[in-house]
Amino acid sequence: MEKTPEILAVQARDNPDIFGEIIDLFQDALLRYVLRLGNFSRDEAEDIVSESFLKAWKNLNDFDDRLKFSSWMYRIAHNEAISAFRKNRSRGAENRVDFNEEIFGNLAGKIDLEKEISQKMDSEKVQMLLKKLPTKDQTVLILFYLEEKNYEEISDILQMPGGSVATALHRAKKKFRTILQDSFSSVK
Amino acid sequence: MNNLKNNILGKIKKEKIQPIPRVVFFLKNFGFWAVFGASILVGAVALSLIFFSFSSIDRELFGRPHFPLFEMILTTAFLFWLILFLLLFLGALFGIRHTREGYKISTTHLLLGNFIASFVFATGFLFFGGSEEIEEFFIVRAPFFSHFEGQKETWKHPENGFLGGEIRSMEREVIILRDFSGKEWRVFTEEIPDDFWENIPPFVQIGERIKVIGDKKSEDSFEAEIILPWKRTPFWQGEKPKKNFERNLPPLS
Repeated sequence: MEKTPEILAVQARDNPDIFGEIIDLFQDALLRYVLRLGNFSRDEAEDIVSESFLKAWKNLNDFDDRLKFSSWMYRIAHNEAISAFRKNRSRGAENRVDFNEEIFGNLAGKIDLEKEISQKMDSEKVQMLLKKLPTKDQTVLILFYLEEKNYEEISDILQMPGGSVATALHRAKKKFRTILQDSFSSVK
Repeated sequence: MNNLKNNILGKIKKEKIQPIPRVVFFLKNFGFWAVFGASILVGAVALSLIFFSFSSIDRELFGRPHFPLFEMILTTAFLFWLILFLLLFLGALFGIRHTREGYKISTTHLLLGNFIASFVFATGFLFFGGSEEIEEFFIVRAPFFSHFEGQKETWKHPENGFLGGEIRSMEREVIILRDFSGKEWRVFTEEIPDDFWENIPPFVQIGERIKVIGDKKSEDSFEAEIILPWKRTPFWQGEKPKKNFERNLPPLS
């Protein structure tokens, strides 16, 4: 029988080595997510992911097995990233990431904008525009379009009511569209 | 990336880090929901005191030029309860957001649920006499609450025609009343209809608190038009039965 992350999470409570399998399953996805949230160097992102796994280990008994384990893991990583982001900001550090994220280039297209706009923008530009949005809007767009999470998963990750996810996504899309269109007008 | 895994597992084993016991999370969840429950009860007390304050306003006060309705409402104990309720509710809201299921409920639903539950309990308190008892209990048992005894504030203003206090002695047509600052007043009752003295209400007794509506005549005298019991009753309970007061009166000189 295939061991799902949920089964592994239950078995790992008494066995750190099984927890190692969980780390194998999620480390890449979480690192990518933290980097997408932005403002972290790769080293910083690895620290955040590492802290997230330690926190997950300590709180393993708090995992509600009615949830998807991946949502719970993303939630911890998200909270760690936000907390690290706040610390960075309070120190005045500006660690803009320099990673090449090809998917960012397609974000404009995914949000049903005119192809013309998305084609004229490279991924770096879209990424920069995304950073103009408030963190909450960025997060919800990243989770839905880039991490391809559904409403229920986003609700569990961000700990917000399901109905609020739809509203937040709608609002974020609208803001992103405005920013893109303004940017496109200024290019013209 | 295997380094990341090895580092984490190494740290867990080296420092012997164990998952936090399940009971801790159970207690945390239970605690937040308990605070939410407490906020419902406190909200119910606040609401029942509001209902009680409104339903037991002395009808004789309406239409008086200096009737301080809002001052009375704002200084009643419910304001204290309301602040306590808001603090508890905000605390519970914050906590519930971090419980296993709580974040799925919207703030509007939590607030609405809390209010409806508080409303139901408050109505229960009011109709079964709980509101009055709650107020009395706290005013008597906790001196701090006496500051919130709203009607006291209303009846501290003889210059506006409202005088409250404790009966020290009585003769026909003159009541000696000690107000809340300890000052004694001679309260004349010529303006009160004769049947008041023929059927003296039970609340007019030495040692009882009363409320007097009338006119300040001098620095220590007051002309009474209406005498009311200190104890308030909701309008649907009607007036308290009257009894003959003659036996309580000192002999006429």
